[in-house]
Amino acid sequence: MRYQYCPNNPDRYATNLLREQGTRNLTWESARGQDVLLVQTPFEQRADGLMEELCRLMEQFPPLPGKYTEIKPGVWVRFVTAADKARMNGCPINTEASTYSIFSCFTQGDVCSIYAQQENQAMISAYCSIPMQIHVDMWEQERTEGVLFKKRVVKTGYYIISFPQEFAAGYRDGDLACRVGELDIPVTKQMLEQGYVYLWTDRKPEIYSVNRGLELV
Amino acid sequence: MSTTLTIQSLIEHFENQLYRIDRQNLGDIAGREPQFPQLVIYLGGNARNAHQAVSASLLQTWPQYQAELKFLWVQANGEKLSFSQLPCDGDQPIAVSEEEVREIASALFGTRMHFSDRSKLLIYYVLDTTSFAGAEEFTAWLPRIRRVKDMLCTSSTDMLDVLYLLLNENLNRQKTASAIRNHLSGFYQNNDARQAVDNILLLSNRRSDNAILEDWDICYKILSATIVLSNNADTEIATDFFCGAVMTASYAREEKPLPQIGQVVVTGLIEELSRAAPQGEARPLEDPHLPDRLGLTNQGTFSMLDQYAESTLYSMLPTEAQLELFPRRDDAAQTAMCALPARAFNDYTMGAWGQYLSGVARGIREKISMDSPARTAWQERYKALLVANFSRDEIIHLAGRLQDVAQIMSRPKAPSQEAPVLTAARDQLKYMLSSDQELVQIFLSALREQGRISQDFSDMWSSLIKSMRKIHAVRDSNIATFYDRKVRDFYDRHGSELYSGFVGMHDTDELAAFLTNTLDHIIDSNEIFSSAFEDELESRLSEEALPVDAKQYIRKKLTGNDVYVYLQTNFALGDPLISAILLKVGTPLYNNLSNNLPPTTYYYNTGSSNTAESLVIYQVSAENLVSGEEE
Amino acid sequence: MSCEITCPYCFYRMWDSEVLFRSEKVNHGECDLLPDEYDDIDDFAVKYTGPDKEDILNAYRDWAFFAEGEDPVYQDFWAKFNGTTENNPADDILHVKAYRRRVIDPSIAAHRRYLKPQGPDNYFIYDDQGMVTQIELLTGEVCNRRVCPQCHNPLPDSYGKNTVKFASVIGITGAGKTVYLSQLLQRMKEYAVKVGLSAIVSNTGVRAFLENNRIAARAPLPGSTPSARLQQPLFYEMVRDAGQNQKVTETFVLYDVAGEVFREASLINQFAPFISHADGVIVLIDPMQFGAVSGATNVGIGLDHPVTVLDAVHDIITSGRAGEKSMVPLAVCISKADTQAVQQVFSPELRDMLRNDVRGIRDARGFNLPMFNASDYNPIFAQLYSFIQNNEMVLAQQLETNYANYAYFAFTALGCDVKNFKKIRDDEFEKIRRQRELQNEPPISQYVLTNDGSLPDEVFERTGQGELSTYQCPTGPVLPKRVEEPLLWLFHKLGYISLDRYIEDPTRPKVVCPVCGSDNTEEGQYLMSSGFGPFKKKWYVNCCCHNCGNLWDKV
Repeated sequence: MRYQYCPNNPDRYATNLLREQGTRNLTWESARGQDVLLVQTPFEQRADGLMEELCRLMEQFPPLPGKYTEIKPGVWVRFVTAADKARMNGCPINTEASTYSIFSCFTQGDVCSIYAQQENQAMISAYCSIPMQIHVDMWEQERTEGVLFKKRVVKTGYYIISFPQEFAAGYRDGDLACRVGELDIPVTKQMLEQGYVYLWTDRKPEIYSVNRGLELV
Repeated sequence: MSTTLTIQSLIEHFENQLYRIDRQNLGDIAGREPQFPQLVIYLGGNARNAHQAVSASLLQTWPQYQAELKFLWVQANGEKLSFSQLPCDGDQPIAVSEEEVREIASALFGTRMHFSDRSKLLIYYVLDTTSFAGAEEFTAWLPRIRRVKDMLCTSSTDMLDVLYLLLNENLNRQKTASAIRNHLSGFYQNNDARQAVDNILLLSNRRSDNAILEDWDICYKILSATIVLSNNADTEIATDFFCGAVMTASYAREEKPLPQIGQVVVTGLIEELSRAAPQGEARPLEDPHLPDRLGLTNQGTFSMLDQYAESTLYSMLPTEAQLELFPRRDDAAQTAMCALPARAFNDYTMGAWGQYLSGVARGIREKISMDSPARTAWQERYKALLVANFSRDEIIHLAGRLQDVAQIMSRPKAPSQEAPVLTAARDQLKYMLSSDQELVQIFLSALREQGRISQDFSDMWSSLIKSMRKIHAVRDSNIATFYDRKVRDFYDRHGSELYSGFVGMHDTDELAAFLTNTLDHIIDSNEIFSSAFEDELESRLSEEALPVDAKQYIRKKLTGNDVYVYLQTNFALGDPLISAILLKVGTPLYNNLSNNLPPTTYYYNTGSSNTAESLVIYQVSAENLVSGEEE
Repeated sequence: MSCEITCPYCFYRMWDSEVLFRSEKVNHGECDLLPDEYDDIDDFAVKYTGPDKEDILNAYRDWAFFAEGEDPVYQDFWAKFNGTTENNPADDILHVKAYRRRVIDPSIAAHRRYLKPQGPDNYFIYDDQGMVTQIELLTGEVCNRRVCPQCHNPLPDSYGKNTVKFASVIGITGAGKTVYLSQLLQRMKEYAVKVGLSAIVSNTGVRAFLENNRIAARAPLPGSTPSARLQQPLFYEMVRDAGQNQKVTETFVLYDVAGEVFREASLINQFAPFISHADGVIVLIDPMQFGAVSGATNVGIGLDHPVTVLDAVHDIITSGRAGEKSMVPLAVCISKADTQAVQQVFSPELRDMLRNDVRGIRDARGFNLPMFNASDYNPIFAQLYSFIQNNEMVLAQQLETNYANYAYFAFTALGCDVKNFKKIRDDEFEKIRRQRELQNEPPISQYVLTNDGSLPDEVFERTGQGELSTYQCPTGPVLPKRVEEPLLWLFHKLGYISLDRYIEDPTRPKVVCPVCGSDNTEEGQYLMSSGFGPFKKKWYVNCCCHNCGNLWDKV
């Protein structure tokens, strides 16, 4: 199969690529009966600059049908037919912390034409960045003091933050940060490995993401 | 290099300074000025070559008449004539229309022009026969001259004109020259030559002593001298000159040997400075004090960055109270987090402390990367440090070994982590800044840049030395010896400050200014440089214990047997129409000449004490014009 | 059961038994009951002396009663609006305009003689809920075209049975009202489903509107709506699940009102009822009406400032009581938010948020709950609020002063550029179409970009002056974004749906946390407890700080 990258064809549009709420599915708008190519690239890197190269690579290493294929390091492709889209209500993503781009495509004979994305739509986008979602719990530490009827729950003065240890392996120091008062303290890999971390403060700390590929939920 | 500095430009600067001083020393005796509006018109390609010499010479005599001196160039293309104007102080022709030519001519009579007498227009045509294949090329110019005259719309009584005919009588142009001479012989019979111009000054490159000139330089001087002489308030001279004849001239010139003096002084200065420059190869990398000279502290950090850390970054460190807020491994009570050693604190905070400090350093680096003025300011400061601590050669040497220097710069010592956390943090920040390759690059690039500047300087200096070696030595040993001594005297008095100024210099612009200022000081240091040329000659000769009366010497040079006529004639030329000396009136030389030369000699006051010229103009009869060479 | 009905045209309130009906029986053309020699009925009445004169006269009157003709009451109403805009495609099939059918008033004896009684002294036919819906003619035709007794305008089927809410969409010419409404109505069912509602079209007006205002790529946009014409109201039945196998239906009526009407006193009076009776207003603002946007483009477009329209709206709603704030929900919408001029002045965060689709709130089974997604909306609102505060203080102040219930929205109804296209002449286009069909080539659009040189100039349509006719067309694909958000917000304000969480409200003062001073607070119901065992106490407080976690009772 020969792959060629062609200029945008408005009759064969595929755009408005979005992640469906609450699912791992990508949805998009396309012309009726339109097949598409999904390209997964590292977070916030768009695929349109790579397409000529990907066309050449796909000729050498044809993508597997119905699956994501790593066509070059860090870049995955998947063809989705109109029927697939209808059946799966879109297409599931491969992994998070990536950017997905959609291109319409049309096969005639042994030539597959992949069409460039439309550029003039400010609120409609043919690519979608999917951050990794990470959940961090935080609560005030309390302990019980007193005996019998004089028992009471008092705050210890610590906040406990619970980090998901399973994310530690892929985590990079400073991707998350903790704001305590006026201090912005980077969250380190060690903290994720530790799991529970203690902060001595009377003000509730705020955990926020520094890396746009990491989304706190 | 930002300036073009050569030996020649320095010599020119020296000459120009002396000319300037000469003009400033006019006192009450200013030179004469042109009386009438005048136009110099070059006819054809070769004649235009005279412009630079003629205009420079006229401007030297009449420096305040730059706006009034007009030069036109006429080119012929078959029947069509095209006109250009040549600027007084340049050589680039500007095409003008016929109408514009008339406007130029009529503007000469304007009230803004400073000519004393606007009753006449003097036109000086210049024609060079060098490229003529035959006499018909000469005769073809005659009606063109008439057309130009008609175009200027002046009646003959308002205009006086003369054609300077530069006749090339080289052996391979004999026939053409002869034909032209024969044609000119008809001048007195009112032939077309006479119809075209009223007067012709005929100058040949074959002198009366049969010598053939290699170029027209002397004849250009004659042109200038006759223009100066003929455009004169003493109208009898003008009348004698514009007499309706074919003329020729003899010419001699004596002047202060300014180019030679300039050459001796400039080369002497360069050689003195060369001797003063440090010899031997620079080896700064072997200097044990190199890190210190590179602005590094004992810890291997940049002192500039350390100062920056102390003034700006320390305030960004958390307070002791804020250290308590850092995340901890457990909820065990600690006495005071600030009392913990840095290593322990970092460990207890699971690396957050180290990351925090890295973030501070990184923020500064990003800020500096984006802040171009700050980066430039640091580079300039570092360049100043290098210039203060290293010689040019050392800087060039270091800039050529940047990798070695980079290695020296990249060896800051990591501070101890056993000190209390905030104390260690201060050292850590300094270490982080000086370890940051992007910040180190600022200093390396400053060194690279300064190396380039120093190399440019060194290249320019070498080029000066080379150009010095290429010029011919001054033949007159008297001049060489005399002025050599003057330069050495100057250097003996001012050498040390000169040396320190020169050695500490890195910039080519600075060098140019330094050399020209030094030359100015040399001129100011000894009145010999500003003395009149006869006095200068006398001083010079008397130092050599040569018993020569300079004025007599000059007089002989100007009027003796070695003064040649610039035309070969069959017969003697007879009494001259004009016999003139052009020099600064009132000087001892003038007195000597006026006492010794015939009373009919006319003295034209040029106002310049550097030069004296003698010019004798003869009428050339038809018999002297006829040549037997033509076939 | 009697139903109180408010006419959606003249807002006359009536009982269902007061409605009139347009006759299903229509006599066309001339009556041929009269002998030929008589010119007309008057002539006949004077001259004819035959014994069957009365019969003929009665038959004639019966025929004339059902003759197609002008309806003066209807004409009087529409005369104020430069003529009717009623246009039912079925009328062409039936060869009679609905408004030229006879209006039958069952309360008039002369009309009742044509009606079949449905019971003692009753000529009405009722539906299952007891609302009058039909009458029947003696000739068997069942007439169910109800009209208002005041203005004779048609009432949609089932109109009046349910609660009715009116909403007006206002905007100056060029703000994009027609395009907005077309896109909204095109996908109304999908949008309603996002908030757990079903939208059912209850009259032909929606279909007629969509047919007359089709939006498609490479097809001309609809022309400007004439400001002095009253567009037909658009009716929907919004159905939602009320639980326990119950459902609730409400009638929702949309009006398209040109903003220019508020510039002329005469027009204000005509159109004021459509504002004064509105339960909600959607105002479309052309972004070029904002100085910040038009200034960013360097284009000197002199459009009215939005406050001109809003001032007039306020006056109408409050009946000129200047000191009173309008309580009517007002959705202030920036249309064409995808144009470069707007994108340039919006912050990157806002631009990112506007790229997302409006999402519903799903229950565990995946069905959308009847809730407005305030979680998604609040950050958008915060950005738009900040934009308006920083760039359009006049508008912000006016809204703050005059309106107690408003919110900001931004959307794009087209989602793509609009460019000039030229049109292939119909005859040429037909040739090209056939040719491509024969050659199995895909069809092309009749409208082509003006700079497209693939076809010779001769095939294109030209004006009278010989220049190419140009049409403004979307380049495509046409993908509206967030057009439904103001409507769904309105649904919440009208009580159709609730909220998933507290919604940002510009009219409510910010509550500041007494501990940390942050205004990132939320009002609600939060449980506090203290004590242990039998001494444990619980109570509720009404404020929470998201910054420091403080809970307190705001007094």
